[in-house]
Amino acid sequence: MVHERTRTFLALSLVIVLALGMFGVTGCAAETDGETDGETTGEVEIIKVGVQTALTGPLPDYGAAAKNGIELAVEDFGTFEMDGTTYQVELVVLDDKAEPAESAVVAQTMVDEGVVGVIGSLTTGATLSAIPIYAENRIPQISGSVTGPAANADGVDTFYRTCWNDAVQGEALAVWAMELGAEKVVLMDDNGAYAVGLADVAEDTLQAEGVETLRQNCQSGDKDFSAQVANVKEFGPDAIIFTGYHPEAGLMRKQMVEAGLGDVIFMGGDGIKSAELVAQTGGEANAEGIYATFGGFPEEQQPGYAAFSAKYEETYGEAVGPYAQNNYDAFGALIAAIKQAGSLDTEAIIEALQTVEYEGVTGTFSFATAADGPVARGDVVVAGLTPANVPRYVVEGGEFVSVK
Amino acid sequence: MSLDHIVSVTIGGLTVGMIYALIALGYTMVYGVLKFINFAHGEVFTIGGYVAAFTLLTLGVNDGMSALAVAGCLLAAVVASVLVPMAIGFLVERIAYRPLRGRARIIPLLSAIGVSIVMQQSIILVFGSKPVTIPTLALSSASIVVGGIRIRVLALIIIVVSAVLMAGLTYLVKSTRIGKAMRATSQDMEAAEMMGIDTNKTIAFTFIVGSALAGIGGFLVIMYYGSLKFDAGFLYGLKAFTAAVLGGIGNIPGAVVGALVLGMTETYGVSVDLGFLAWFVVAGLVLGLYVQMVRIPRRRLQHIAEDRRTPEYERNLLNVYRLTPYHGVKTLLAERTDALLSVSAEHAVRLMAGNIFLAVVAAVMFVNANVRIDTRWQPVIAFVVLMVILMFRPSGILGEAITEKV
Repeated sequence: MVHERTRTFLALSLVIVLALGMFGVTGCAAETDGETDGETTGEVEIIKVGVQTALTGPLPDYGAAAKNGIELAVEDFGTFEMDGTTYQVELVVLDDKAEPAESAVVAQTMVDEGVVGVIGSLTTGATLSAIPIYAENRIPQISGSVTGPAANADGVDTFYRTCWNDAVQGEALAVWAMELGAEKVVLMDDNGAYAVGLADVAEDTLQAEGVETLRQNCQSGDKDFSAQVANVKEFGPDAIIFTGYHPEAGLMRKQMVEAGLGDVIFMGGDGIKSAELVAQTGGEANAEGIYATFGGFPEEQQPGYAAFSAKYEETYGEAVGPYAQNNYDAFGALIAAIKQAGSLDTEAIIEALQTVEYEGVTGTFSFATAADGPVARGDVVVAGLTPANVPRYVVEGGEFVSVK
Repeated sequence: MSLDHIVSVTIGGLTVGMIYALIALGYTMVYGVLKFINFAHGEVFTIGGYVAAFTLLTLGVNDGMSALAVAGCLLAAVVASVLVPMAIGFLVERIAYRPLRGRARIIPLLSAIGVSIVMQQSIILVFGSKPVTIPTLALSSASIVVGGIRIRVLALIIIVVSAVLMAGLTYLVKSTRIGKAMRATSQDMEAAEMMGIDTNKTIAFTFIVGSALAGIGGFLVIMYYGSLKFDAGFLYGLKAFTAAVLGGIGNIPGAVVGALVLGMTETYGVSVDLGFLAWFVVAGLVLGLYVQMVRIPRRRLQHIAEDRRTPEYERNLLNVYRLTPYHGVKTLLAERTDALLSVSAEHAVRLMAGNIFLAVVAAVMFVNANVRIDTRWQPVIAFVVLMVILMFRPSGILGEAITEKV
């Protein structure tokens, strides 16, 4: 009896599954049909664009901001006309949890979904495992928040980004230190990918100009830097470039001041440009004169920012989240490339991305077509950006103020 | 490498080591008495630091105040950073450990990890997840110059205060009534109870003393570094625990020695040249040879019955340990009927292999005398040194001897 019942159940399930499968297949087929014979004028055709972001995981606020930015862009550019056909973008939003393993699965799903392009992903670490999959399947990918120099080490032609490569800051810090007359410079990182990448670029730039350098490291979470401070003191530098984050930077600065090294110029990247830094150094007196660069033009210098932020706040009822405008521009640039290519063939879109010049919220930019020094292929090339005019800040009266 | 450099590195290492030691004592005392590792101890340290910072911020301490007022604020902070951890240590023992006493050892261990998580989250709830910072006082940035070398006053204070506290603790355990009760409880809890010792009270006392020391550690850290994060206790706890194991867990002087070795390794390893470090390896080699040739044969002889301890036998054993090639090999090959001699010969060969390893390491270091190890390897070096020491001495530098017999 039991056996018979089980068998009946199995048979029934099989029938249901098969039936569902049939429906599914027909559904797909219908859609493909729609895509292929969408040449007739006046018809609306749906195209799919992937959004690979991290809505869960360690950076949910960044992930939500990216998604918001892209959704705003879909409202603005999501419906466009090309050769008499109206195209409408449908987003395929998938969550990679900022994990490399998950990211590979998401990338494969995007490929299977048949997207014409992907905006994302959110973090450098997760992107690394998605890049080869997109490259192999010839799907263009534009990220609005991957700043790690490691992202496109292989120089594939399917990866692009609208945010600045961190390496820009590395070069900028080195150039700035030389402008300040430094002849001996200490570079210190916290062993993390971001800090090491920045310090490597700065070190290369300085050494190429004949500046003597010393490399020091710490661990994120360290409190005591007596070994490093002693090494720095022995080396006797004019400047120290600390590429890690503000908790360690503040303590390092404090301990340097206490060891009588308060005169050494203290510089860092956007990792130290935080209001918290001042408290960590043990007071305004210690923090005074700390220099920092930043990986993007200040908002008031971004031409479309005012309008963007007004719209963002109106739509979502909150202030603009991190990198939302870069993601907005990423989607805009993708659509611009599609229009320029005049086709939905991804090969043609990739071709177009190499030459497209896009006027976005963050400014006018194009994409680098070849790796050149710290610049990786696909990096955003911002009109008029040089190492010398990367935004510079200095601590004055306990606050970071812009250096003109 | 100038003298200035070596002195400042040494002071830095000693300071870090002394702070590790203050925390390590809590681990080792509890282990000594209960054979249980109190993983929540690192968080007690953090709470001490936070309470001190909170007291200082509430009193609004600053350099504008008179010296007396500043001293008063600091005293209040010290008292708070001792009393609150004491109370927490007592409560944790009473609530999370005492009900589980006598169960399988893993159970209080899990309870300890749970308590540690609860405490860390409580710190976030009470004080927020931002690091707490205190204003810099003249005292905390003051330094004296001796013979052209700049030394931070606070570093010296930390070293002296810690040393005094440790001496006090040793006195407490060795020469007072409650210390005697602690040692008795450590040796055999049931027997101690039969002798009329209130073991519950003794164990609670152990927790309270350990927590007070950790609290002072927290106070010193907030004064020295000026800031503390809610998760600082994890790393400090881990390092202090390592120090306790390195020195011989359960051994009070051992915890101090282990902590100093760890602190010095962390700073010396990456800030002095290999040629200088090599002398430490040489010292280790000399110590190893001394132990092998003098200490061990002497101890072995004590285990031999009087009538067999003839001068000739003594000479034989000594020769085996001196590894006079002839004697060592002969003893190994001859398959002597005397089991002790053959075992000793094998032992001696193993020890010698270790000494040769040290000699080779020292030689390599002398060849590269001007090289300095990259600071990237700072955590690795400490770990390698730890492994090498535990390889030669599995029970820690001063041995696992819990406490001396009552």
